[in-house]
Amino acid sequence: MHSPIAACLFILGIGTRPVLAQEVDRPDSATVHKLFPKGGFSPQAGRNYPTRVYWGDTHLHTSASMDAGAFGNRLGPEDAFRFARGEELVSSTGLPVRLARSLDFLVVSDHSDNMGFFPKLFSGDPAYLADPVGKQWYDMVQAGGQEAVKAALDVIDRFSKNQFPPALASLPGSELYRSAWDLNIKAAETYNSPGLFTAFIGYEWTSNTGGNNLHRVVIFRDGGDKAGQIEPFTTLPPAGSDNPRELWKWMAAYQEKTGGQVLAIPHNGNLSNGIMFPLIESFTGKPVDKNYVTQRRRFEPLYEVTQIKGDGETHPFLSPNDEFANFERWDKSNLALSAPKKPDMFQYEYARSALQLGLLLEQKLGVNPYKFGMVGSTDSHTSLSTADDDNFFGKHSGTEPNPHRWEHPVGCFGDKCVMGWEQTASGYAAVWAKENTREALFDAMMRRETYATTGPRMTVRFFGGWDFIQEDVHTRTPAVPGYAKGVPMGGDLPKRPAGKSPTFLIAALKDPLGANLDRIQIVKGWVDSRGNRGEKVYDVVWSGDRKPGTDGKLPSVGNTVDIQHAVYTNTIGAPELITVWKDPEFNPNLRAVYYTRVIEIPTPRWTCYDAVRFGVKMSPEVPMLTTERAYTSPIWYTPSK
Amino acid sequence: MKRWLQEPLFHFLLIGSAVFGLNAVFASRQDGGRTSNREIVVSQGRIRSMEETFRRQWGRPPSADELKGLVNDYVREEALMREAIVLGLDRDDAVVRRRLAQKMEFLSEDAVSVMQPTEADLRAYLAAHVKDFAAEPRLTFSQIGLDPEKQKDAGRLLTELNHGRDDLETLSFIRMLPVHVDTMAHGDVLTLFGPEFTATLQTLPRGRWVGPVPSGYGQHLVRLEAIEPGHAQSFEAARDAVAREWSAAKRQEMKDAQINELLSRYSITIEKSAPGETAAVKR
Repeated sequence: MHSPIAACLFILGIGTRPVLAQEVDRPDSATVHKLFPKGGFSPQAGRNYPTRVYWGDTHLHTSASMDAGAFGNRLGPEDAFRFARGEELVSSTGLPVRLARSLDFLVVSDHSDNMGFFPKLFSGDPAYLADPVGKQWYDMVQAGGQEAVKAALDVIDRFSKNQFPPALASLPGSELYRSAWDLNIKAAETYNSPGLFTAFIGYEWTSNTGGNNLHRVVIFRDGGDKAGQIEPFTTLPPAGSDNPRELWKWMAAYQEKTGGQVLAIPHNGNLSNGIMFPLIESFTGKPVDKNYVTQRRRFEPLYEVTQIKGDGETHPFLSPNDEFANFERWDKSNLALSAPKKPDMFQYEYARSALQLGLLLEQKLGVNPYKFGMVGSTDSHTSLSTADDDNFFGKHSGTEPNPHRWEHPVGCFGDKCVMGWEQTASGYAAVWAKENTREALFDAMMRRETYATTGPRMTVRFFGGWDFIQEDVHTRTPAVPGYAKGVPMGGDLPKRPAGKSPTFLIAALKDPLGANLDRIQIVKGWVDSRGNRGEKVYDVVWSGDRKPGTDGKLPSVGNTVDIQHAVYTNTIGAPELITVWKDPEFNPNLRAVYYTRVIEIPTPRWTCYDAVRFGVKMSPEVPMLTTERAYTSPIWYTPSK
Repeated sequence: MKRWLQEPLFHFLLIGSAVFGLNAVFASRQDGGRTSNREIVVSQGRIRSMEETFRRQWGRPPSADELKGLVNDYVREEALMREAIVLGLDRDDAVVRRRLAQKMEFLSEDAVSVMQPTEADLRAYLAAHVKDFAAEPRLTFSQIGLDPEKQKDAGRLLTELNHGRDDLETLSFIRMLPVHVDTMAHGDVLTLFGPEFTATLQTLPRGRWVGPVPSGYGQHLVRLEAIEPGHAQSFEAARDAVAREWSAAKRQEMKDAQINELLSRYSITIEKSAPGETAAVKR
């Protein structure tokens, strides 16, 4: 075969002569050089892989969410899209606000339960005010400030206890619900500009039984012509359910009915109290079965690993030897603060252990339900997608910038509170796609070619294969050997050539407006023949000439943060880190999963910026530093039979 | 300040006497022949609406007694409400104040939502905001990142590059940035290289290697080839975006116009804090 055209003709069966099988083998290198002559002015021409990463937030609430509105959010979906596109707005508490850089895409994901309830309450609808609870909420919301926060928490509390006043409910099938969903769709349709900015249609399914978080964001690949044929799935029976299996049925039914496509992204396993990544289903008490693993794998290609309500990569209890594991923990209880955390819950809550549990289930059932990629998102309830520590507008409108937000509770249920300073200014979703459209981004999410960051926009490449050599990082941009010789993040290692160990090409470029990089690590997970989980963190490339100590640990990169002025300098760390790494402890008989963690040098945490800007002194337990990071989607190894 | 001035009891008495005095003033003013203000009529429509609210709340119609109770409550509430307004109690109440202000805002929102732009409106808007809807400028250039350890080699490198050295990918210290950038949109250059570099880039001479040029990554040598200026879009191509921006702008314009019109009816004085006193709002 000597040209792509001939190859096409062959495939179409219109070859002019019988062709032998070996003639359709890969083109030889001489042909390749003819097709892609070296030194051409534009090396991008002819490259059929993603050459740039798109930044976005897959999880944002507006005033259409029952709790967001009550918290004081007065900005709707249209405002959210305008803000993400880089425009200046006035926040719900009256502060001018703008992103340092616009985002490329946004999913407005308002809660499906009671969508439309809040705008109606806020408009002072007489029927709502006739209800004693409605009247009380209304007055609290009108009073504003901490009273409004209390109202919002009561909305959540009553909802999760199934005590939401029936007269105030907004249920699918009603006119109120329909108009709320239509507004969501209309906003996305208005602001979606293929090639420039992608506005996804989406919602959040908020399963919260017993206060345990099983929430998922549902994202549509489609436009209003399809998404408008249905109404979102809720958690309230009889139309809805709190069981994810029922959500997956709904998703399958949507695809069947419309020919469209949807995916779901779970989040905050850390607040699920041990039920986000189960081996035993909380709903039945039985081991997860073939149906569960198949459906989950089909519909949930990604996990939101970092956001304002804590980081979900791993936990010091699970990863005691990982000095970066103790990061932005929300680990006291479930979401409703109604049941304390027990250590045996952790393994079913965090991404790293879940990836290992997935290998275990695949061994047993043939399908890995936890074969997910990583994204970060904010879950802001302010309509403002802010994940930068120096421009952080908080979880909800009650925690927008003010001198006291660090010491006010984000939420209290009963006498237990999470304090303002515990919020994490995180995160964003990075997607390697060929263009900025709903279809291209969605397809990239399905193939897991994504990574999560805690806010900074570092560029990260991660490829796995059998033949990467150190030379690959010295000649060309990493994507060239990366795609040519391996699979990108989110992929599976191809069949193992005899005697080889997996090799990885890893590269990270700092955020052009952010801090230098400290190091890149590879996190390996596996399950041994007896079904025991194992994990190890390898430092694979780092800045400066540091040498690992006798304990194998790399010395700290240092710290340049001046807490008094909330500034740092890029005098330590490196702008870019690249290497090829070969697994030195590879066992070809065991399933394994590898992902990359990129660590920045220390920078001021949002609390530090607040302390300086408002001139307040915070209590000693409030951290002033953070180490921002990126987590890539993994690459998997499966032994061949 | 005298201690008794700060006593709650004093405030209570002061407010009480003020209210009493105002009451007398307003009552006499309102009595001036306008007896209708002293008349409470509960219309059939009102009663039906009360029944309907009850039905939605309880899932059944009210009994005769319950309805009588509802009507009596309404009459009581109406009388109390009118007297409260006469006393100006609505003005002290944050909830009432916000609710009334909000109702005014909803009025203007409603007005905007029914407004539909004509084609002429949109064309005029586009003409007034050509720049906002223009396609972005596109930049073509080559660059290499300099090794911070070898900054002093920059001069020699520049000479070599200007004499045809072209192994840019091997040469560049930063491997993840493209060495050749071909007609990239200005916004994408900004995302990839940062604002400092992008601004400098546009001032460079064309067709030869110059530098070093700083960026968030370090120092670069750069050869600018071309800047394709952003060109205005046709009305047809920009129509949807123009309609979206027109609506958003109109909404803001109406809001501003309404509030400015209202404010023009008032003279506004914001008292300064006396010297030595702490300002109420500290920024």
